[in-house]
Amino acid sequence: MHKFILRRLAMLIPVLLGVSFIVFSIMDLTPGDPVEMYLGDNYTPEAHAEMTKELGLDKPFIVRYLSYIGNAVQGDFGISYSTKQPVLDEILARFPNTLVLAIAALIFAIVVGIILGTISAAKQNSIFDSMSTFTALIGVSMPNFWFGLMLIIIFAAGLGWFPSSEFSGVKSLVLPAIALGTNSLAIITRMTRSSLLETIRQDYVRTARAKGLKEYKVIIKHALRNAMIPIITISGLQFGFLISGAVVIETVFSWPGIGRLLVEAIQLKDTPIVLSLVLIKAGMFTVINLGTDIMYAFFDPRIRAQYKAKRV
Amino acid sequence: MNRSKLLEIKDLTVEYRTDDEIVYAVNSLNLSLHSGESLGLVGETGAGKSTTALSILQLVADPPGKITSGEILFEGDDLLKAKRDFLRHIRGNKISMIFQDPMTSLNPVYSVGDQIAEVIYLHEKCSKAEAQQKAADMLEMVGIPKDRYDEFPHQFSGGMKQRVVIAMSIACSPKLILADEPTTALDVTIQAQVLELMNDLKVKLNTSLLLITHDLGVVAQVCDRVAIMYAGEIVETGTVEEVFEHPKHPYTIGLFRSIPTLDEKVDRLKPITGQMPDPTNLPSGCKFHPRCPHMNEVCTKMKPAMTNVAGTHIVKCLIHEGKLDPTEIMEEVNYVR
Ligand SMILES: Nc1ncnc2c1ncn2[C@@H]1O[C@H](COP(=O)(O)OP(=O)(O)O)[C@@H](O)[C@H]1O
Ligand SMILES: [Mg+2]
Repeated sequence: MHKFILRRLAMLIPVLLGVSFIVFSIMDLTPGDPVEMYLGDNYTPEAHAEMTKELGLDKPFIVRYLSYIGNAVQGDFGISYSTKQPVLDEILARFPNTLVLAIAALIFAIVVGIILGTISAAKQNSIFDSMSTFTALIGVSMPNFWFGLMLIIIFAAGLGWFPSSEFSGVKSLVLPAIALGTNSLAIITRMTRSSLLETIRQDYVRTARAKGLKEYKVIIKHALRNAMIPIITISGLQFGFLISGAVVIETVFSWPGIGRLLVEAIQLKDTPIVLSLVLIKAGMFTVINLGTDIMYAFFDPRIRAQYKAKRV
Repeated sequence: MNRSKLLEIKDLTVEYRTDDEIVYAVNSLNLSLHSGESLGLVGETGAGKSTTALSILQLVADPPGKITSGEILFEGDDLLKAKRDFLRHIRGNKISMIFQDPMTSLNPVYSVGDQIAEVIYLHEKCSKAEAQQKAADMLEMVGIPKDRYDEFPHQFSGGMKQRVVIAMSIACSPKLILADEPTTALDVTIQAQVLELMNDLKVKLNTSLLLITHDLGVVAQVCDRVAIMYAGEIVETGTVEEVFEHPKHPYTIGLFRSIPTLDEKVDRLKPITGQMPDPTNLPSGCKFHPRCPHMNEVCTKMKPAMTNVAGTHIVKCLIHEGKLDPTEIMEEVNYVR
């Protein structure tokens, strides 16, 4: 298992190299002059020439790319063209906020989604089931910025239960996490329901019932545990979306995360920031994938045995 | 023969209702079982054997299955009217069930040992550690070494899995075991081993057994009594000697004839002609009449009643009820194998 994890982490290297190369090329090929942005009001043709040299932008593409990689390996991701601060500092100041928001949204989506999906499946075709199907449909189709605004209007501005934009503590996390997590919640609810409806019909669930177990134990211990694989898969995917899809919610709630940073950086052609953010996201996706695979092994001994047997 | 009745099923009727049709799986079925006795329930696929057994523990899939009427008395209590808690106390503890397919009846994500320990911990007032200890003993009892306790079902062969299921079913020393074709999914040599194991355990633990099978040979090997099921009804029942020596119902006779014997040439095989009736649209009168060699006008109209022909031997056939003109048929029907 340790070997499996190490090997998977080693696969990060080619992934990150590939992604960085593609993003580097795209940023290089798109029109716009970063030096102009960088100089702003201090623009003179001389300053421009000097700065181009200083930033190394006069060198050929491949040299610039390799030197970026060389520096990045040593932990130097360059200087932001727009704020003139080290990129690493900029990102470290923002990324944890995005991560916290995404994790909170994911926990909300998974916990509530599995509970609702399980009740729906256990009471298939009941009123609760129809209601949850209907709610999930709304949850999937509702734009989350609009839902976020509604939450602010009702619970922050109206009832005053939560702060609307102030960034402080757990309380300020509640509304943005709900707004961000609702789409995923709906998806996880549906997935739990359908996966569980599949396992509930299995013979081993009947065996569990024949033992005299209470119905909730039959469902949770025997059916749900077997229904987890697709739920884990979809949750991992959703986590990826939550990290990269927080842009709108971060704007609505004035949440100081990387979502807004990325949009601004693209507009300003701030290549060092864009590159690092994309690399972080690519890295996160790989780590999330690894996390889902480890979860598979946790829930299913057959997968566990495969990992062991292949020594992958 | 005066032992108390452990299980008595009276007029059990079970249907499967889907959108556009009703499957009449079990039709006013009567069956009883004394304690310590082994009863073989025999019939073709689709006769309603599994549904009958599942009804006893109320494990019939609902929807689409519905028990529409009847009583199932276990030690005098009607299980169909029992409270959930009482039923859970019966399940796995007083009555346990071995399902047809060992490949799918164990949960793939728990170790076989823990799956046995679960039922012990549930019904016996003991600690988890004691339950695990007893589960390990149970594994040994069915011939699986203790040290395989922590292995998962996918690491076991079909025969081994069925042993695990058997260990699970005897773990709480039940009064009654319902075994639904416990050997059908296994190959022949394993089949014999499993049957022998069940026979041993039955004697050792003095449990009653309802053994469902479509194999008359298995019945002869394991059972004291036999009930022949056709289209959701019991058509003949009695001790194994009574039914095997003097089969009365034309269907039972057909079943015996369809068994190839070693000295018989294959071209003399006489399988029962015709198909099982469509369970959504059962024949009127005697349900066997479309396939019966002695079919008569009256068979299409009149439902036969249970008729005691000798000792405990009961047949549901209009011939033996005396409703048909005896002269033309009796000789043929009294065919002895
Ligand atoms: N879940 C179900 N839904 C619909 N019909 C069923 C279901 N289970 C069994 N049946 C039908 O009920 C009848 C009796 O089935 P079953 O009790 O399994 O017979 P046996 O065990 O003797 O082969 C068959 O016609 C079968 O098709
Ligand atoms: Mg069956």
